[in-house]
Amino acid sequence: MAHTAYIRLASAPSTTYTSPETLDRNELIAACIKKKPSAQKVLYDRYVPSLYPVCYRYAGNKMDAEDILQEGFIKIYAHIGKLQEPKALEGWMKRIMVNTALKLLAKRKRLAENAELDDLRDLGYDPSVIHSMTEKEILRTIATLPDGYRAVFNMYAIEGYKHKEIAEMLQIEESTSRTQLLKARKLLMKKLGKWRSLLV
Amino acid sequence: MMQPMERIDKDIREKLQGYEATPSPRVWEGILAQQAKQNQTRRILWIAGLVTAAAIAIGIVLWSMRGDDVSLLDDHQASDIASSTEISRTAAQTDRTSAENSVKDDATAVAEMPTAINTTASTQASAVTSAGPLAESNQTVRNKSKSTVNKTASNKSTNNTQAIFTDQVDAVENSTDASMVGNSAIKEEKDRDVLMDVTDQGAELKREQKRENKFSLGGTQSTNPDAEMIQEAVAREAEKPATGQVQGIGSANEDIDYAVLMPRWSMPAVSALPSLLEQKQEASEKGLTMSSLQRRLNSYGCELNLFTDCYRHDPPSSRLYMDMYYNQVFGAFQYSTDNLELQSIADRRTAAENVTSGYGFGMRFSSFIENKVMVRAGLEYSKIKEDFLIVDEERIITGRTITIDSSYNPGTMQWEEERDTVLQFEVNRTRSEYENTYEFLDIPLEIGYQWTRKRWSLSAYGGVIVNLAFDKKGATLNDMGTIIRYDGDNIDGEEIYRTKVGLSLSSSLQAAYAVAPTADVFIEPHMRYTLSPITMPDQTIRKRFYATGVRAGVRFRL
Repeated sequence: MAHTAYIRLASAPSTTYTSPETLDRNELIAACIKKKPSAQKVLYDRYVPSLYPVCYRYAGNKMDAEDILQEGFIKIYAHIGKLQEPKALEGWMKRIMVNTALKLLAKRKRLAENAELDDLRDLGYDPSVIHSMTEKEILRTIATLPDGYRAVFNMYAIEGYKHKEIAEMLQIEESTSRTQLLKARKLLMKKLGKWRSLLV
Repeated sequence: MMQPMERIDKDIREKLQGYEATPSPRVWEGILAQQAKQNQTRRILWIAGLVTAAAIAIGIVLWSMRGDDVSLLDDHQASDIASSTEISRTAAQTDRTSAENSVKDDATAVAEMPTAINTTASTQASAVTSAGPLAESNQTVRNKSKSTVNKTASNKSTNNTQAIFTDQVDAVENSTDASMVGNSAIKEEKDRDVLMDVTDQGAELKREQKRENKFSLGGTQSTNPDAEMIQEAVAREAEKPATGQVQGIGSANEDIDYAVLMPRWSMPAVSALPSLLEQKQEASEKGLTMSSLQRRLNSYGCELNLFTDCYRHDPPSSRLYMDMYYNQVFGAFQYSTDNLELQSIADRRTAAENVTSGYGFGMRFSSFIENKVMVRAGLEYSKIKEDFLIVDEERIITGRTITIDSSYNPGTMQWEEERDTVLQFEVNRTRSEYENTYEFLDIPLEIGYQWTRKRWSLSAYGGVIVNLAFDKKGATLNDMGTIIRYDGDNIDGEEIYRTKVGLSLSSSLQAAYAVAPTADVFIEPHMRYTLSPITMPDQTIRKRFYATGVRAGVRFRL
């Protein structure tokens, strides 16, 4: 038998209870600032499905992605009081996850492991391949990129960071960021080409 | 037109936009575990901060109390006079040796330089005169000084220097007369008392000399004439009312500061020490403060058993106590419900939740408010651990064997089937096990009565415990029999326990033994009963907390 979850709202009389699932974003943030575990759980349940793929894209494997997710949420709970604009909650959480992922990769010195590509010829790109793939397959393909390429590709192509920002965040030269992006794209196209050959 | 390189970015971005995936449950469990660890670290830091702050506060209090020795001595005086009858053999022998050496030196000096007699006499006269203001303020001190002179004279006479010493005493009397004349303008009447004392001392000395001839040197305490004489003198003192406290004499004369130290000492102790002037010189040379000298003297007196109240618990010699202790807690919970339908769940919880251990520590201050009646308050942390274990059994049918026996019934001319069904199933046991913890931060407020016997004290206390914080973590069954977890607050969406447990009644019996003049060790069985259930008011199944235990620690007398 299902039971209903309740948390007490600070603004409400002490006898009034509101289900945390029904809290809007502002109320949820307020409850999380007060470190209400029930609100933290709701925040987790509400946003983890969109944040997990972000972590996976950077980590390249499930285990590391979950570690990043865990560490990221600890930071979110600790610093949610610093969030000035509640509307930016999701973007702010995503940035925390990206930063956490980069720190983890840097800690493990995986960002430095950039494979030397022996063949950087333009292999051509068929958009139909992407459309024929599922999201999970695309993620797995991205995950096969070397960590350094993958990080730059994710940041530039998906998150929308500029090369200057990427260079600052990864503590690399801007030119290095550009080179790694180029190599990441070509490697990706190479892998997608193999995928196309499989489809054919 | 978009380049292929840029096109791939856009296509992948669009494809992944809105994509969602769910991680494994271990992520959330990891978050909870990490938060719990952080909370624990924070709690430890908080407690460490409290203890540090308390230690600093105590240090400040003790430091500030260093200058209050005079008033403390006032309180000790009456008991010290009475305690002076217990004269240690060590002190008496020390007195004798010291006096003998002193008299030998004196004898040599007098023989070689007749003028030295006058010098010595002048010095003693000065010392006696300096005792004048003391005598003015404190009859007890005056008599102690007198007895000191008597005793010194007695020891001197044992070395067959009666003639010299008699001259000395005469010189003292003469010098005192002269000194009295000189000081008469200031303290004429009071110094006359001193003169009378010294004159009396002279008479006493002569009697002593006669008596001394009957004794041999080096007898045991039981035959020690000094001890007997001093005991007699002390007995006389003890019969007198303890009037004339040492008040305000510290500022009158610097020497009298040292006299302030003396009331805590019995007479032999005073004579066992170097002269007051020597003490002053030593203190000055070593840069000792009055407080440090006071502590040295007190410590010396306690070691020699010169003070009988060093280890006593009686007020007002120990006005304030500070206890620091470990607490072994034996907690217990009781479940109850008014709803008969939920009694089975209450029973399940009783079986599933078992207290395994408990401990705590605390610090408190206690003080006398009346003779033998004490009040105390402090801060106490305690933690109760509980095993939560639920084993659910679920039968899952894994197979069904149907046996059909067909047989031909000639009577009915038909085949008849007899079916036999055998079910195959597995029993899945789900074992849910958690370690529940309950942490309490409380302020005990209690009143007690103390009995004392020598170094022992026995106290009975009763009062209330005010809960400041109640933290809990673990799992339990809710009213529907579902396992729910909690950690500080509710995790699974249902608040089971209160954030504070409110008031509890408490009682304890404390036995303390003085191991040092300022420290006792104690052991204290105690009980606690929470007045309200620790569960939220809307919970149908109520849970109450009881605890017994034993505190053991150190009690400092401040």
